[in-house]
Amino acid sequence: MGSTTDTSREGPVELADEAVEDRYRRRVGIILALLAITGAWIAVLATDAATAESTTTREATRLAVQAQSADVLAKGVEAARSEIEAEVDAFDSREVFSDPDALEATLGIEIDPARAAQRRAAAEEQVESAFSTDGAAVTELAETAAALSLEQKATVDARITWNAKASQYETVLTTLAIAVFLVGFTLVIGRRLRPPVAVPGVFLAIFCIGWAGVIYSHPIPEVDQDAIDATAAGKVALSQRRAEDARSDFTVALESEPDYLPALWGRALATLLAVNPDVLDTMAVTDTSQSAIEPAARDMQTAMDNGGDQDPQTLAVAALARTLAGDWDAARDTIDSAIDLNENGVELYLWRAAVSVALGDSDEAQHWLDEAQNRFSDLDGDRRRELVAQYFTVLEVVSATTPDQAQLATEFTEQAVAAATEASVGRALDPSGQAPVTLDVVEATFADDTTTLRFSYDGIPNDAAVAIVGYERPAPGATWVQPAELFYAGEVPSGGEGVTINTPRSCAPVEYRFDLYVEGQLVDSVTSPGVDATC
Amino acid sequence: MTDNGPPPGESETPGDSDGSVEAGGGAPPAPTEEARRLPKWLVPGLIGLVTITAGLLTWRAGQLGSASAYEDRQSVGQTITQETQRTEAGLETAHQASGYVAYSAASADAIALEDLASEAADQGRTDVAADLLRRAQQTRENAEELAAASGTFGEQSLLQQEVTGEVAGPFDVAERFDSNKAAAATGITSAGVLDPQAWADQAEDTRSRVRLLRWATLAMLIAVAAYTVAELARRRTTRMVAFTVGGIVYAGTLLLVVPGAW
Repeated sequence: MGSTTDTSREGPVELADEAVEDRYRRRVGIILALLAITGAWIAVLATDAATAESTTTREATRLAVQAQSADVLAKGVEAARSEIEAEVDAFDSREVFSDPDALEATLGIEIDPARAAQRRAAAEEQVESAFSTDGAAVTELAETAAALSLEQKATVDARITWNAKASQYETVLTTLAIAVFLVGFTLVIGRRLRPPVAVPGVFLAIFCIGWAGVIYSHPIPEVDQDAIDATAAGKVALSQRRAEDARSDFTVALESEPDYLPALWGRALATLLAVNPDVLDTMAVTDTSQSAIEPAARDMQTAMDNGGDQDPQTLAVAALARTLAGDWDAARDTIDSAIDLNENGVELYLWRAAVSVALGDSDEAQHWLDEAQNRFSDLDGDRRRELVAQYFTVLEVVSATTPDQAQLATEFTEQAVAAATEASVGRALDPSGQAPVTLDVVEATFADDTTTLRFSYDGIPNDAAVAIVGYERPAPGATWVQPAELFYAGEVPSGGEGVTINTPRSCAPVEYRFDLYVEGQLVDSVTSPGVDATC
Repeated sequence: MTDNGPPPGESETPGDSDGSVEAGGGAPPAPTEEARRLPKWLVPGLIGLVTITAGLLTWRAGQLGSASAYEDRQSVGQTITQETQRTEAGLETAHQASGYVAYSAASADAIALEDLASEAADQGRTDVAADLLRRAQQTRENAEELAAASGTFGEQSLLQQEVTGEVAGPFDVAERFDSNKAAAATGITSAGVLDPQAWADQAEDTRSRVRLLRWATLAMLIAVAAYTVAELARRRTTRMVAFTVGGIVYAGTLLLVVPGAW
């Protein structure tokens, strides 16, 4: 009986167990089916993202070459148009257009001044109307090129986001596969082990679904075409130094895309340019009240808060603004970040060296100066000169805003002058045993974007290596600026006749300063009045 | 309890499923369970069919994906060729524009010299006038030589100008750019007809089809899941609903999505 009773009790228990097991397996089967469908859905999303990435890659590549060819045409036509002005200027040196009195003397005939003026006017008219394409059309070409370039950058941003999405979906799928394994594995393990395996599996699956949802909801960066067009117009206006037009264009762009980086840093530059018309050419800060600094800084802050701290161009503009403002700690951090993202930016190293001088760290300044010089070898002489001129100008800002470091700034200027002089004369300098030397400015005038200079000097040995570094004060109270063209390094010049050079300026120099270096040593520094202030 | 019947709460008969019970000797005999059940081979067969269909869709999506990648490359390749032509045309145009400015300045110089010669001749200084005219002629010849070298004018155009005395111009950048571009695109060794946008549009179209096929494959998977439920469920209602859902999803996808996407 006992055994019969046992059998009759075990039978229902086994059957009940089997029913429970059967139900469990069906539930697991349904969960697995749902997870498979979910996985397939995520796989479709991943494929969509990969597909979109392919499309944006294609478009980015096409836009890149389109932008390049448009830029070639725009720059070429712009250069040809600028030749018109040069040709008209060159009429001054053609005999037929020379002064009637001089022409009379040369040809031995009487020249009717009115007829001579008519000849000149007709010639100018002929050259000036050489192109049926007017300036507006050339500007339009440049804007098209700039817009294509901006569009390409925006497409690249979209491509990067699609790439990130596709890759994240793949990670989700891999994680979901683990969840599927955990849930499915419970079918072959004992009941007691099932909960600690199945529960994490189900939670992991739920997490994956949520994760996929988050990835899906992440927006793809898009830039409104109107904002791109307005920014392109602003960039061209900026390059043509039309500050107010540029500011207006960038503002239009920011109305539809408030966080658009090129428009933000473009407007910051345009704001600086509006009150410092030569700042992008000679780094001349003529707005001594620094009224532009605050609005420009506001735009730059918005840019930095919206990804600008990862954008080399935004960082470079921020570095320039902070350096010119004499905000040395902020300038140091910004330039360091900019160098991290663009280690080819030679200006950045020179600015950084000057900032180190301002902060009183001569070793660090030397380090950054060496870094800059290491990158000089591929550059031609004029470009190097421009860079060193910028460096001198920033060192002048350092001297003006941080008098404690003025001596250090002078030493670093002297060092750079010596290097340039050595490179020019092709020998090591010999600073020992210098006799007293004096420099006098005989003539320093500015008119029609032309500077005429004449010096006299005394006490310089004939075989000495000299350098004359010219500085301009672009407005009363403004810091000295070292324009690239006002620099001579080499053998002792014959002097006497002086030089006349083309120096286009919006702000006429109100004062000049000339530093004379002999064998790399600063031996004299003289100032001379300039012309009436225009800024 | 030993005949493997449905567990408590579950039933395989229609009566059980809706709670009613067949009763009464006069009523027609209830259909047997086997008669009401779908053929045993049907659902597994459909699962196999749908799976094979999904496989075919995946294969086709792969094929089209490869085609769209090819179309992308064609589009990019043709864009590069086209833009290379534009760059060459742009450089040539800029060079010619520069040459035209120089030519124009030299022509203006020559005209002024001729006018000055006329002024000298008016004063009876024929020697000075002759010298000035000679210099004007020399200036013109130099200008023409440079203009020909820069490609600003062809030799025949210069001949025409010399004969008629008319200076061609002004220089139309857009027109010259278009003609330079056309010259680059129509030469016997040119790259032929380029239409990168058409390839790009085609790639987009192909990708849309791939996308539809992927979604169709997902729908097939849903149909497989539905058929699996139809096969495994114990409740008849569940089985029939799942069977119907599977059929609708499968047939709907085949009819509505696949023809356009394939």
